[in-house]
Amino acid sequence: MSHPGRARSVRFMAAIFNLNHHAGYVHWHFFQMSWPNLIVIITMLVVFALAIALPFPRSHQPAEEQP
Amino acid sequence: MTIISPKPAPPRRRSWTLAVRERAVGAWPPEKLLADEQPSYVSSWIYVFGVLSLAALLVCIGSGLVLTLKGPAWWHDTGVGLFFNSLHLWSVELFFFFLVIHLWGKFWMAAWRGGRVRTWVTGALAFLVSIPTALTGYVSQQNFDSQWISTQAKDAMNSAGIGAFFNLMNFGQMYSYHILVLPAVVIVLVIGHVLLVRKHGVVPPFEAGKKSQRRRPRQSRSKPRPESARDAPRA
Amino acid sequence: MRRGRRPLSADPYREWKGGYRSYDLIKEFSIAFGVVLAITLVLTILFSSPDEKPTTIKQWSRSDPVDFVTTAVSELDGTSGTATYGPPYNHNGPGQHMWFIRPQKWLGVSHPIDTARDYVLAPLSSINRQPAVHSAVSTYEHASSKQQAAWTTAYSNALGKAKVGPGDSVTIPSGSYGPVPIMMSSLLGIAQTGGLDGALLTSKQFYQTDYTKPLLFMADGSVLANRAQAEHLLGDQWGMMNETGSFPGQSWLWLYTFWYQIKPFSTSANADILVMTIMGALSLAFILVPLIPGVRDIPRWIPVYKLIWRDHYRELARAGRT
Repeated sequence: MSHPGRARSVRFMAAIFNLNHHAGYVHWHFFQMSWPNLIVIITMLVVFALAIALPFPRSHQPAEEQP
Repeated sequence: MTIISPKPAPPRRRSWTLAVRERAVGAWPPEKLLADEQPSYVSSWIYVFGVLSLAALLVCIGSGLVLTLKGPAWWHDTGVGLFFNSLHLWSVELFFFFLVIHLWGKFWMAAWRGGRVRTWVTGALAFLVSIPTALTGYVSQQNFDSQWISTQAKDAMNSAGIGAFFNLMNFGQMYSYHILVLPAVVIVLVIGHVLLVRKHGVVPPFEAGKKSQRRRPRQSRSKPRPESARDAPRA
Repeated sequence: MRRGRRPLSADPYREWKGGYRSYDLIKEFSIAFGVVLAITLVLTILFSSPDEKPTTIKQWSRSDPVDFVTTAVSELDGTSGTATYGPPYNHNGPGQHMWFIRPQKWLGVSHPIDTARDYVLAPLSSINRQPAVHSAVSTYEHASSKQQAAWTTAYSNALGKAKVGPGDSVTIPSGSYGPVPIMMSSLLGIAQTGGLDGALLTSKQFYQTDYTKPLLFMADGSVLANRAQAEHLLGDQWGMMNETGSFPGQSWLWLYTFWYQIKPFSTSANADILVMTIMGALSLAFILVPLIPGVRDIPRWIPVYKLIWRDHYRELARAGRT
């Protein structure tokens, strides 16, 4: 059953980047992964590395000085 | 008529209520539950991923609540429905994204040290229960994704005997699991996890405990705290 | 305290007695919530979410009537995937096992499906009122099982040379198929009008929420698998973690789906129970990491912690020098 104005409404909410097409895949021997999943996993690793490597802004009120 | 007795009140008898209250207040005094200080070693971006996971869980629950209020078919037909479905999907992706980084961070800190095993266990359980919570969501979508995932994943469930009472192709059952049973378990585990973090505090650095116990700070620029609060580990 | 047991207070990691810094818990949470909400909104506006329409039996029987009829015959003669599945749908298969462990068999038939009756005979009897169809069903039901098998086998073989005729009908070379062609063309007609989608859902009740029967019927055909293959969703394509379109899927299932790609699991008839067992054991190990010697020592051996707490160690070193 079609809903009046539905097409316009859904199009209005449509994405800026259309991902409704087949993904690309990385295929190596038994390893097969879609680029979207691979990007998520690589981003996780990068964010983890950055979280450890980037300096954390120190509070203006430093901790007690160690003697 | 009220009779006012001059006699002192009899000693309070031990009650279950009193015992629970004393234990709860002992474990989580207000200054520990809503701490305004944290140990000096908590100085890394890795510490923000726990609270980011929690925030993503809240966005996920909020967007899920809107989808629940309108019913399972709404999001297929309206732009606003699709919008909330998208919020729900991306908050789930972010929840797992932050949760896994939080988990990696806590592993490399060996955050179970110093009596914090239960904190690790509740966190690990919350992660594991989140997986079927997501799965039941995927099979409740009422689209091709649900058809394919339910007919494929049924074999794993059936092989382990789970399929006898957990039928991925039964939409009514999966929807109940997704919007009530499993989120409730995740929320209870997360609350327990956060309470344990508040109680035991963030794990101190390796080999730092002994040294820092020998050296009491000579002077503190942070505001003085009552002695009872000083003994409490902070997160 | 028991003799020989270390007092809890001796655990140097139990309580921190060093310095503290002021901190605003509620502010941190509020900022985190705002940031996550903003990222979610940006991702939503940029990418939206996938929603590929479900396949119906009506669409399937129209787009690929030969596959539909082939599947229906396999349900009738008990050779389909569901017909030979075993528990929890029927007793026609042993179910998967690992050594002597057979949970699938032990938990029994909880969702009984008689494929011939549920997918073919019952819909034909309840929906089609034509005398010829009723007569065909009656002839089939009263024939010996040997005769039934002879008809369905001949018909299945002939379907290899089937052609799609006008109105999406299926024509096959003539042969001795008994009442099967009448039954199948009638069932195809019901399916193409959408009647079978409803018929497989109905039970004793008015409201329906259980899609087990129509989903298993479609899964026995190739309609879902063809769509899935095009979308890279098959089990041997690491499909468990993939999503339709170019959206990220359940990437957290990477380890689970990994096992299905390698031997012996990729070729085992008991792959599901073996992978479930491995993942169950690994999940238990994950929960119990703090108690497993060796695993719990990895963070000490590979000192990532020196980076995480570098500010703290730097302060300690500076304090040591002064």
